[in-house]
Amino acid sequence: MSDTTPILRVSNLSVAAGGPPDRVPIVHDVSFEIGQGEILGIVGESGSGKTMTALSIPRILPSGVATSGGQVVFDGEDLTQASERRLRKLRGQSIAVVFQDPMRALNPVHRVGRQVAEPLRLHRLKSRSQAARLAETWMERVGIPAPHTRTRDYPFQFSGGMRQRALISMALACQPRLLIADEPTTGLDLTIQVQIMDLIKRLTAEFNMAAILISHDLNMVASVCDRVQVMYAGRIVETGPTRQVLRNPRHPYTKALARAVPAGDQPPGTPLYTLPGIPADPTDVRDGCSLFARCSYRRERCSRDQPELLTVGGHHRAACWVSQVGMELNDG
Amino acid sequence: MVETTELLRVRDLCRYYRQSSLPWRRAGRVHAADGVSFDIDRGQAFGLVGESGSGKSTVARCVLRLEKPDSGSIVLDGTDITRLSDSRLRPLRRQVQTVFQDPASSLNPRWQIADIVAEPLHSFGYDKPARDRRVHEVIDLVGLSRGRLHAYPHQLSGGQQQRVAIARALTLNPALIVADEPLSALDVSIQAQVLNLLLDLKRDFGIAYLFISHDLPVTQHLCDTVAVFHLGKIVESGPSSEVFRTPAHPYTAALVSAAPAELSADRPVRERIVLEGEQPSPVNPPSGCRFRTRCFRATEECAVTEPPLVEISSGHRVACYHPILSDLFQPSDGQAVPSDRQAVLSGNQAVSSDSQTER
Repeated sequence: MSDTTPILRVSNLSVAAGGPPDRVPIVHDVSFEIGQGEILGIVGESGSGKTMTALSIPRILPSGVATSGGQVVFDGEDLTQASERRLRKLRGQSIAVVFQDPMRALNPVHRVGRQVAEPLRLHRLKSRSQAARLAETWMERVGIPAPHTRTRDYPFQFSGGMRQRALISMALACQPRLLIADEPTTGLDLTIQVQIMDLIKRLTAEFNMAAILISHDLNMVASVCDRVQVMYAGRIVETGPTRQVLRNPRHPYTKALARAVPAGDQPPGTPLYTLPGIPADPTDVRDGCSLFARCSYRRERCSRDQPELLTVGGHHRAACWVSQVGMELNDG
Repeated sequence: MVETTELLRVRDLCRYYRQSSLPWRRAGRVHAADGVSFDIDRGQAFGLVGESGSGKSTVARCVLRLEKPDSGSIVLDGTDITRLSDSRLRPLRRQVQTVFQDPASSLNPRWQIADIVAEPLHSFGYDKPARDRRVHEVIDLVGLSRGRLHAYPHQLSGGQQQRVAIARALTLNPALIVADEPLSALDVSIQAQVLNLLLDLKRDFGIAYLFISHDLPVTQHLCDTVAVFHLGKIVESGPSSEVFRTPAHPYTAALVSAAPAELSADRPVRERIVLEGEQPSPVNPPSGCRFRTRCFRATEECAVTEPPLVEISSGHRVACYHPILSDLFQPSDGQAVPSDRQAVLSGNQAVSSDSQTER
């Protein structure tokens, strides 16, 4: 964890979807911080609330979804209380987002160079010609070959990996202090995924940015993140320094995620550790731990009380009653 | 039926696509599969790994005879099916079934699960009682509850939908299941469940797989033998544990290093090989070795002629003039490179570990 004061502090954030009569919570009481130059990974399966958590920071949640409680303090300012006008100023300039699907995030009828220069123009940081030149520089920095000619291309002329690079250059053009990347490598080829991850890691270090990396792939995140937090059914179930969490997971769900990927030291063909059933629905609010129905370590208490996120050693915290009484999550 | 261990033999399979073009332009040819050869024995899982656009799905479609190859031969259980007419092919089709990547789009949204699973039985003329019996059997096998038989696909989760697709593939007792990225649309914890199911079916019924994937750890876990596919060609093949533990082709090495390292184990995070650039166009592949433009070991020689697939140790073949023999990818127990492998390769290249991490 960073020693300096955090650039972002999210406390007790809740997000709900739908109108007042049938409003359903989708993120419950999430708290975390990020320091400057730090990369935080948020890991979870589809529907776990990881994307909604991240999108509520610059308040760009889809329509019908809104924060229902908690604070998002960015650089000393509570964004949940900020005006729309103030947020518009921050978005793209201080907080930038890279979305999952680069084809949908780029406008198909505008040239790539213009789109990369757009944030610079919108925030009136640069003149048109300066912005165009800077866009080219950024495109070169993220590894787009021949940027001078590629700025004139349209998104369909770019490959998937190149589009994602263009999006990253767009996000970084204003030199934001916080970068949010939502599944930036999903759908890309493995060798390209590595390139993009490598790029994000290099640039966050180079420009001393903070970054949130959202992924469903625990191991992919592990290669670049300083810390990870694992989400399940709208809650953080485990958080801590990446290595500690992956080497010694203290929540059964994290353990299942880590073990669901075959490891090289396991003889081929042996059954993988799995959780029975399907992921819990975060909107289905009930007493006790949301993993209860699928967990093989469950105790009687787990069905009654929602486990709290408590330390299991240093900055490593887990929301599991079984771990908290010091028991090991052994196989079986 | 003759009892042999060999189930499928593919030799020099070529499939080109004419690139749709404007009338005044010369049409290009996409070399989707270019001289592909492999064997699958009964009960054996064969993995084909490669990146998108490498042509691995084309190979699957040719084996399923959804497409006719341009040249080469496909022999299924002793019968050459390459040019067989549809009517002669039909009885053989029950031997080879398929599971596709996206379960939602491979199931008819307006049919109930029971009808979807029974369809292959229907088209092979089973009567209603026989169909019902078999549907119940396979539904139990794949771990779906019988209560879901009258549900529609959209009422099931992605993992359950993929189980339905697998159940449908099982109904006719096939000898081979062609599975094209069957896990990639699923969440990680569900992936593991379906992978376990595939392993059970292989063990219990001796089903062979042609398993197509870009996921190396999963392929290594399921498959006995693998082939690494790059731009329509096999660049490396062999027993899966050997290919992934000691990759000899620079492309395989890059893929292996890109695959997320197993973090539960106490081993250092591996140095990653970051390949520069992207796959060249399959319309105009580079001269000589098709990987040379991204390769960190390429020399002038690689641009001249295409490296042949040569055996470097028993069953392990590689198509590269400068295969990797450094200790970087040696198993941690310090096993030395098999001496026969050294002998074959000691000829013309220096074993350099510094070129490994070039960026």
